[in-house]
Amino acid sequence: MKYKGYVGRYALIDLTRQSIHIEPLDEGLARNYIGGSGFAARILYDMLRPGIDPLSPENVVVIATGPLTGTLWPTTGRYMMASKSPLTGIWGESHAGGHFGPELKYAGFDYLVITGRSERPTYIYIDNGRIELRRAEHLWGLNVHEATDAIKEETDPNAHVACIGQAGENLVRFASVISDYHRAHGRTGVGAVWGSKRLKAIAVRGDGEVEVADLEKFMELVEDAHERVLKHPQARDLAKYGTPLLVGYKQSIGEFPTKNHWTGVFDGAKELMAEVLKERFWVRDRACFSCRVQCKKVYTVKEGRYAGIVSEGPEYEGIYSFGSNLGNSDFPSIFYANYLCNNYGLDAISTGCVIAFLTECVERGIVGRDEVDGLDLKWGNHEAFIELIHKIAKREGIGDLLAEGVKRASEKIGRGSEYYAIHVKGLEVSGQDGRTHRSIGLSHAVASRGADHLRGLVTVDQLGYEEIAAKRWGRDKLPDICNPYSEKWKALAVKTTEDVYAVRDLLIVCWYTVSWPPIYWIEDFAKILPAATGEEAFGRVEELLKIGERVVNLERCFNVREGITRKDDRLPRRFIEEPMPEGPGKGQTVNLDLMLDEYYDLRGWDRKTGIPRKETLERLGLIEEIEDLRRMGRLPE
Amino acid sequence: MKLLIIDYDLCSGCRVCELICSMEHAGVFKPSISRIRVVKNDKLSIDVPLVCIQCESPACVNICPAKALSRDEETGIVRLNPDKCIGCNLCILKCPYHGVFKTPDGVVVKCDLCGGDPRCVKYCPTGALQYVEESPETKAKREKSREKLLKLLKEYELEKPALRIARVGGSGA
Repeated sequence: MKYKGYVGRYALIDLTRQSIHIEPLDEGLARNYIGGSGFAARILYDMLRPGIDPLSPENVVVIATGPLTGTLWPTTGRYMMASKSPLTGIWGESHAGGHFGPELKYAGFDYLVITGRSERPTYIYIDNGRIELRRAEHLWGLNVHEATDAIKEETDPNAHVACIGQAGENLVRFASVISDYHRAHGRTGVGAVWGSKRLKAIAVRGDGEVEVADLEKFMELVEDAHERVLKHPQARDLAKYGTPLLVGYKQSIGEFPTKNHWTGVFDGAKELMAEVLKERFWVRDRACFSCRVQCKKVYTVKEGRYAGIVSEGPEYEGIYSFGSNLGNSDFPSIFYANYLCNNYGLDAISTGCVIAFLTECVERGIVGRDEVDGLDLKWGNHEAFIELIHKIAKREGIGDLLAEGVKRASEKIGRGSEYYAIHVKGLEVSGQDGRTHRSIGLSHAVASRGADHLRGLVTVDQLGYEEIAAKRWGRDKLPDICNPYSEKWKALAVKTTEDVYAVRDLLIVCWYTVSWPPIYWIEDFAKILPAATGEEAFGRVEELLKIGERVVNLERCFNVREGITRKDDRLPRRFIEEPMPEGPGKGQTVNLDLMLDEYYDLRGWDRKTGIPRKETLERLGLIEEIEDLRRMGRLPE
Repeated sequence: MKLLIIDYDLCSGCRVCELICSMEHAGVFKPSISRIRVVKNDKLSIDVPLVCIQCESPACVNICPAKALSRDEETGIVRLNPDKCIGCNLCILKCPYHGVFKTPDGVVVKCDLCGGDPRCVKYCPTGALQYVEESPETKAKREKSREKLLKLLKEYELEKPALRIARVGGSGA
């Protein structure tokens, strides 16, 4: 392998045949796709036949790191998983922090590809280049904590374990994979794919190394990068309060989604402010691998029905999904709900959202109180919400329907409930709202995995980042580009941001410090990547952006093959038709089509269909994809 | 003389110390050869850095049959002479603070404070690692820190992981 930064190998694990192949990392793959999401997009596009059932043995899971994983660049503990999503039927991907990713590299693997379905429950133990498939009947049925404990006992107390809980086993369509007990690959249901493959866990132990090409240069950049995190006031705030810090920001701009995204102002928000949590529940801080932010907050609840647990607490998204979006200001219940999700292996966002959907349906009389297993479903009744989490994970009673996600559940219920199913392409909407932040409206609509808050959320078009916005898009775009209630320039902002974030997800580094607070940007990647890998071409910003764009387009092609077109790039009708009822954004709605036209033009996608044009794919070197789309009759004229 | 003191309440478990240590000593990012290691109880969100704290009366020096370990009375640094080390593991097993490690290649390693300017302290983002002038106050602080370490290892059942991290008897499972 001519490049440094990588460890130079991957493993192909076939659970049907119970076989393991270890192969050298392809240099071309590294050159054209860098790592992480790029590796996954290339591999899944090539391996998956369009139209397969995501829960069949034909689905494939890619688990990937990037060339910076395991190094001293800040926030390089991230790793990712991808497969066809059982929740959305399209591109599925999720990233997590912790220590598993670096350990996988130290064990000698840049990525893993897992195929087939085991006859019986299995777990994979990777110990320094040796991969073993082990029986897991005794672990099937255990929650995440119990299974992780048992596997560490059987393998190595210092092994890093990623596993599913009962939700993944029960094929809950938004089941997560949890590593190191608390770090969640939450979105798009990769946990259900593991469950369908009867894969309970992967444990990894590695003593190896990651070497960089130009150590002196690398360390010079690292020193500067660490300094910038330490000096950034918002990074310091994040260190102090964690992502709950966002509760205050979001409430102040009227975008703290409340009661199933009905409004953006939550009257109970003051109970959920980061300062309040710090004072009442905080125990200590934790960080992921090589991170100076330490945004993980360990909390405990001392009294009441949820007392006794010490655990890493909910992020902003968990506080939104079990708090404001359920009209619930009781933090102990939010903390407990988040804990339960991580222990059952459920995505905290989708879980809260399906409960919010059902609660609104009951509150509006669309679903009868007699249809919800006798639960007293109403805004703020956290005892009923907690009960539903158990039911969803076990697929019991009404939980069996909710385990399908809001899209399928609403289609089954009918009766106009579809209006209250707040999702894009089947993925429940995260804690943002296009009505008060137009760019996220566009981003939710077009992102490859559905309503996504991580792949295109522009953060610098509000909250006073005019200087940064001017630097990125030109001073002539001010003030409109920083007006969150205007559609103007938002297509441009989202397009660039998606391309840069795509590169972020190849390296792989964290959302925090890149996306918010805005500390590192593409110029920083263009400096560190050549020092890490030795590939000079990675030192050109245009080249990196082209690679980012390539990944965005490849994921789009993946989705187009599954039938996605412009008609699917929609927002929930609530965001389009129902003006924000109160707060600073009162009266706002999203004019999505205006932004979509511009976005497709900038992307080189056909306005009518939203499908990448031949010239676009050619420019990005996606030649076979042109043929594929043509053969399916989907290539724009 | 200066003392290395660890404030265990401040460690966030980021392992930047492990990375900078291996970089400094071998020019690669390789926690398994680091002279400082963070042992974890992830379930309970506990992180405990393990490193030689350069004891005044070191158990490792006293037990070493090859006389490979010695304490520099002037600087207080306990040094390991790799040429003399016979790899018997006694220092690893005897150190009550789990401050001596073995690399995957079977080489015993321990902290030498980078000769008096420990890089891990400089890089520690939280201030958990401190390198301070010796005084009655700092000596008392270090004593407390030692007690805290022993308490943490016991309370969170970290003795076994700590020994496994040292990889006594080689790198195999």
